[in-house]
Formats: sequence, C-alpha cells, structure tokens
Amino acid sequence: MIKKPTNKKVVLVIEDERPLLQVIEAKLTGAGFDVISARTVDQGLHYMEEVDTIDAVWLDHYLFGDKTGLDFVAKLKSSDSKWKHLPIFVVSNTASKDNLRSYIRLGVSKYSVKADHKLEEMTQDIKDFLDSPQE
Amino acid sequence: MKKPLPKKKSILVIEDERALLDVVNKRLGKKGFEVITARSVDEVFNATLDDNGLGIISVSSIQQALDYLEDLENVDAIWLDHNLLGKENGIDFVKKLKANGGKWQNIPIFVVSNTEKSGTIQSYVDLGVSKYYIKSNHKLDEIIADINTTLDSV
Repeated sequence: MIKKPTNKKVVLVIEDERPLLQVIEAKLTGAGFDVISARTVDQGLHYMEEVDTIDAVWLDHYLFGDKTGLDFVAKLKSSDSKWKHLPIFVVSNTASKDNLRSYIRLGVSKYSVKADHKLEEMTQDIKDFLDSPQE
Repeated sequence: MKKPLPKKKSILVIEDERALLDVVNKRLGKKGFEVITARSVDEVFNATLDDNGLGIISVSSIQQALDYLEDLENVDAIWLDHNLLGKENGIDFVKKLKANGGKWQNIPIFVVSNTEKSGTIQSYVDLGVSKYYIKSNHKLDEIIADINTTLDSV
C-alpha cells in the first residue's frame, strides 16, 4: 500500500516556459505546496485523471501545442466534470479583455497578469484561497 | 509441472515531484513491479522498507540514488526524470552511474522528462540510456508498458 507521505496541498502548474516553471515551482514549494508540472493542456488533463491528490491549478494562457488555457478550463468546468469545483488560478500576460471575460465566465477563481503581480503574491493568493473555508 | 513464479522486477524511480512520484509508484506496483517509496535514505531503511518490501526505490536527489545503488544490488531498471531536486540533474546522475564502472554500467535507464531540447536528449543518448520519453507525449501507463516490453526483450 502506498501511503500519502504528507498532507501538503498539491498544485498542478501548467506553464510551458521552463525557466518560469522552475521559479514558480520553487516559490510554491517554498510556501509549503507539492507541485506537479505540465507543459501542455493534454498533459495537464492526463495528470488530472492520474493524480487524484491535486488541490488547485496554476494555469498559463498560451501553452505548448495548439490548445490554450481556455481549453483546459472549459474541460474542467464542464457540467459533467468531476473537477467543477477545483480552484483554477490563471496567470498570463495575455490580458485581452475577451480572454479575461471567457475565463471569468468559465468560473476560474482568479485571473492575474504576470507583469502586474509578483509570483509571491500569487502564491500567497492561492494559499489564502485554499486555507479559507470552501462552500 | 510447476513453473517457478517469475521474479518481480525492481525499478529505481528518480522524480522530484512528489505527487507524480506517488502515482508512478502506484502504477508500477499495479503492473507487478515491487515497490518502495521514499524521499530520503532514512525513510527507506527505517520505515518504508518494512512496510512495502523491496522493489521500487524512489528518490529525489542524486546522492540518495547513488547511496541506494550501493546498498541495493538488484535494481533491474531506472526511471529517471531530468530535472531533480538540488543542483544536479539526470545527466549528472547517468554520468556518475556510468563512471562507477562495471557493476551499474548495464542497468537500463529510462529517461522520463518534460524537456524536449534536442541537445539534452542527445546527451542522454550519447551516455547510453535505453529510452527517452517526453512526458507530455505519453500517458504514464504507455511508458510503463513500454518499459515492461523493453525489459522483457533483453
């Protein structure tokens, strides 16, 4: 039997730029999270199916391959999805109003523009969100 | 006539992301590999070893992995991530393993990585790893099935 080694919260980070991914992983790990990283929408969806311990998702908009973060969110937030209530934090430089509206409409927990927010702040936001009582 | 049960294959898994490591361990266990999970030498020898018996030895730093190899003789294969905890990556691990000479020279190494830089892949190929999988291109079960096939054909 495999026992879960810790009760750390697990964040799936979907980000295709390796250097940025490494910084995000370091920040989240430093804040007490376990991180699992993916570089494409499909890889992220595979991990959703395979790793049943994921507590939240950190999502970039533009990703490797031809799918964007919106495809990922649409899939997770669809009406028959078992992950409907999983918090998703979109962190992207592409703050086009259309994209932003789409993400909000699909029900992401928060949308942040990379340039405006330090990664520490994002990490803290996720922490605060997961620590606060959920409905 | 009774056929002897085939010996379970043991595999050393080196992966820094704990959540992924847990899943890989579970999957390999289901596919008939023997399982140990740990992130430190202490964990292996004091706790988990008793719980799970010998088998998959999972570690998240290169030093740990080399310590295990010193102590555990029967590693049939190695599952290796490229990016690892600490300063050294999977390439450093393979170099050290191969530099250790004869004993560990021929353990098949399966690199499972997010990195698809051709230079990185070429380095592994030059060092003589058995296979290189890019994580985003394969489901875990596909990789496990392929490792099984490769080990059976040796």
